[in-house]
Amino acid sequence: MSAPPLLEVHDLAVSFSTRAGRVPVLEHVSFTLAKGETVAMVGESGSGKSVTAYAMLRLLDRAGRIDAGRVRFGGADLFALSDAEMADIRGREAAMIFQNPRAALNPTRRVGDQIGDVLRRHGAIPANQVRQRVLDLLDQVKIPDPARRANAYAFELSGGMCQRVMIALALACSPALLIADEPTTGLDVTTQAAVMATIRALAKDRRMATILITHDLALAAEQADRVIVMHAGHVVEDAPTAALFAAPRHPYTRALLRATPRTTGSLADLESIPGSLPTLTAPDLPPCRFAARCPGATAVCRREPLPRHRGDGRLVACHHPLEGAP
Amino acid sequence: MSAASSTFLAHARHTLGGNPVTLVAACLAGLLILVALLAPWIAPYDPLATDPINKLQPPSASHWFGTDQLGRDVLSRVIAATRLDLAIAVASVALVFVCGTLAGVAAGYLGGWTDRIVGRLADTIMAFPLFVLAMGIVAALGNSVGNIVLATAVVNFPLYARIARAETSVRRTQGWVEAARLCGHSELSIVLTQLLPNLLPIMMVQVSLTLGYAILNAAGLSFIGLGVRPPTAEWGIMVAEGATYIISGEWWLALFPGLALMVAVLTFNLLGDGLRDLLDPRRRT
Amino acid sequence: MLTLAIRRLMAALPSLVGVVIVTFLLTRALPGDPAAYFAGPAATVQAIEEVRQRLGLDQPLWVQFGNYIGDLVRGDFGTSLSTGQPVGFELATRLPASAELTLLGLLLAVVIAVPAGMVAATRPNGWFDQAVRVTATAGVSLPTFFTGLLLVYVFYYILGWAPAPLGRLDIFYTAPPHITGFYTLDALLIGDAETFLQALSQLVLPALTLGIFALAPLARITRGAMLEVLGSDYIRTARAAGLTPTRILIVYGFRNAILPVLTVLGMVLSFLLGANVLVEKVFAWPGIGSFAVEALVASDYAPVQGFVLTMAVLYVGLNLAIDLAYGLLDPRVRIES
Repeated sequence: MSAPPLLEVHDLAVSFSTRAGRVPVLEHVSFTLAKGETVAMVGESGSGKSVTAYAMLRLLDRAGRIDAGRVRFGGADLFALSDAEMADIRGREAAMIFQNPRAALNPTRRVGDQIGDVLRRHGAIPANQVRQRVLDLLDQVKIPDPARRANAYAFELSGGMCQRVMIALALACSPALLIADEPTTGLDVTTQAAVMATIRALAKDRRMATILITHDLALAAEQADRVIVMHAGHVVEDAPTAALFAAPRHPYTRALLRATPRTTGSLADLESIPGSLPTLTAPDLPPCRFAARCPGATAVCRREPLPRHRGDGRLVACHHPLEGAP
Repeated sequence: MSAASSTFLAHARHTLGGNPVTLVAACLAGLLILVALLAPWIAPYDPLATDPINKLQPPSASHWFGTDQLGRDVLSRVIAATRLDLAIAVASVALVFVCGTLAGVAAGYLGGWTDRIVGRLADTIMAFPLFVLAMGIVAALGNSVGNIVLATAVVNFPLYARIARAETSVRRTQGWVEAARLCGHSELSIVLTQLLPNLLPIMMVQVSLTLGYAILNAAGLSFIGLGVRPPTAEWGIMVAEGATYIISGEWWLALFPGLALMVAVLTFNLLGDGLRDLLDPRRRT
Repeated sequence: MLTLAIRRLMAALPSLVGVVIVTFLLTRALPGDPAAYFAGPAATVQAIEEVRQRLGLDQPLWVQFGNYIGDLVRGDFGTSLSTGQPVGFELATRLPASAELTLLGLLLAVVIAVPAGMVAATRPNGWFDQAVRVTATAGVSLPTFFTGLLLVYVFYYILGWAPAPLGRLDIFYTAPPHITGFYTLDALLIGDAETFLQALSQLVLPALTLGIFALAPLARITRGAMLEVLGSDYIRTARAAGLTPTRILIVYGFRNAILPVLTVLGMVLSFLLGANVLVEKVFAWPGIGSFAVEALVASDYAPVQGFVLTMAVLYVGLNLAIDLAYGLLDPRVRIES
């Protein structure tokens, strides 16, 4: 690689305080993202995908704490910035969109004003052009009749429309990085496709890097250049999309693929993943958090620290990585 | 059932352990009730006995709370008043607990006209500032302790009726009520054995919260000269009488009954909050 | 917006009708024989019968109700036995005093409680939050009349900062000309700073007493509403967009948290209007509450009934105003009408 990556997450660890004490939610999370690259982050609910994104942008709620790690973004060390400097980056350099778009918009403020707030906050354009820019943005995300929709409240718009508004809001200042956290969950199938197409087209236009957080492997396969698989707060596999789907090397990735319906193959071939995510409050958590669910686990997996080797542009965190076809 | 009750106890221990305030409130409530029950025996003096020579004495070893304008022992009067004020509050809350809960259950269970009448009645009461309505009721029905009890019960009626109605109409259609009906239980026995027992916990929270309000309401009415009359010892009247002397510096006349009143109300409010947390940890604020 | 206003007005009508019926029933429930009562203690049987006919008390109940409505429509609340004046007149002249006191009390409570609740919500379970919670719980448990007396003792007797708790103005001052009826406002309007300060100094303690009582529910609900709003998805959006903390707190947080606060304002007003009676008695405040209390003590019932009706109508009106404000602030209500 000639240019340094746009985003570099190194050895990130996050814990949450709960009634049962501090729970290590993320451990040793590392990955990089190049300019213009699209990475999908996949895993079951609770595997730490969203927490990773929130931690990177320092958006964790009060219970969450960053225990270790470093995030370099566009040359800045995000964890070393002041709150105000961090806020300057959010919305301008790195933006985020969420699932459940209607709830993610302020119910008592016109959607156009909410987009305008972001533009004004980051001083992107002169005040008298804000309105026009808002209408342009709404038009870019393919909202019909932007002038009327800008004056609407979130409750007056459909879920798909709200997600388009969210995209317009996130892209208002042309960020270098977009984090899309389950952007299509809860939308109907045709709307999902349209929303993803919009994100993809805009990302391409602006050479914007995108992190797509999803539990939908098909969506990841379709959209991403690279896939990061997370399980119980660990990155278990990180590989180019084609390579990962062709030959998963982590048992969990393979299990995930086998649990996903495909167009070729029958439903009878589907397998469920045995067990469930380990309880992270357990005092004697093995180094490999998949050990309890893994068919190939040995005593080593429960004793020795996980190897995290990178090679051939992919990473597998496993003592007994798989070889060959799935 | 034993498993359920033991988890409830564990939960109670957890909640009380994490919330010592509720524990203190429960102890204080017990203390207040004890004082009310034993008032005649623990008061050092006769609360009505005057002693003109020793009038307006500040607190001392013989009169811990001092003496009033007629030389009566303030401590003994505060103790005697505890009995009366708690009795008024308990009587009014018991009255509204029975009437309000029954009306609410009837409204929620029967629906239709019963529901509309109960709802309208509750709305009409709520259309008044509650203390003002209580004043109007006592003024109209006559100035007596019984009418204070009645008026305090009336102004609390909407609260009980509404909660009981809401809980009933939710539970009425739930599986276990249907199951009881299919087993051939009569409607009345369903209400008595299936609905009321499940309403009790949430109603107990209301009981504790409204006890505080009932004490405040009764004392307020007495303070403006309604209901309890001198020379009877009652917190509101004692504060009213003490008010005349506070601007000349005899603070103990009003302070001690006022403090007793405050402690009693605070106790029941805190207890009610604690009970609510115990029942519904999610709504804890 | 107009349809919303009309709809809310229609919804308030049943409450108003209920209020009138209840007050009518209260007049009929007078202890003993109302005719004997109105005829006076020395009246003969014949005189009582005359009074009964004159007051229409021999008519069937529904005719009496019709007469009662007729009287109300004409603004006839009966005559006060103790002052000899029409009750309507007495109430009208005293209403500004009560209104000035209650409104300032409410204003104080809102100005203190709402920001306190907001700040408490930004650091839940922090020391400020705990302090707010303790103060609020203690405040609502304090009987207003007792709070008033404590304030009088501390600020008048001990510190000597406040004037004697004897009404709206020191006896050496004359009331400003009647413009709004609010002494402080009227004094300001004619530019009389001295009278303004005097009137204000009389007003502060009773208004504070009322404010302390209303503080607790307001602070509590503001905190709760703010906590819920701050945990919402759209606040996360605003933070992810890099908006400044103040803007998030005010425009995205408070603007939404104000709605539940507005909803409990009705209950707070119910408390305030009731507590007003007690505070007026403590501070010898010449409002409608102390008028009613004096009448009560003198067993003069017409003023009490007029007072109850006035308060109830005011309260229904205030609730209507709150409803309308809610409609203005919440686009979901405004647009769907």
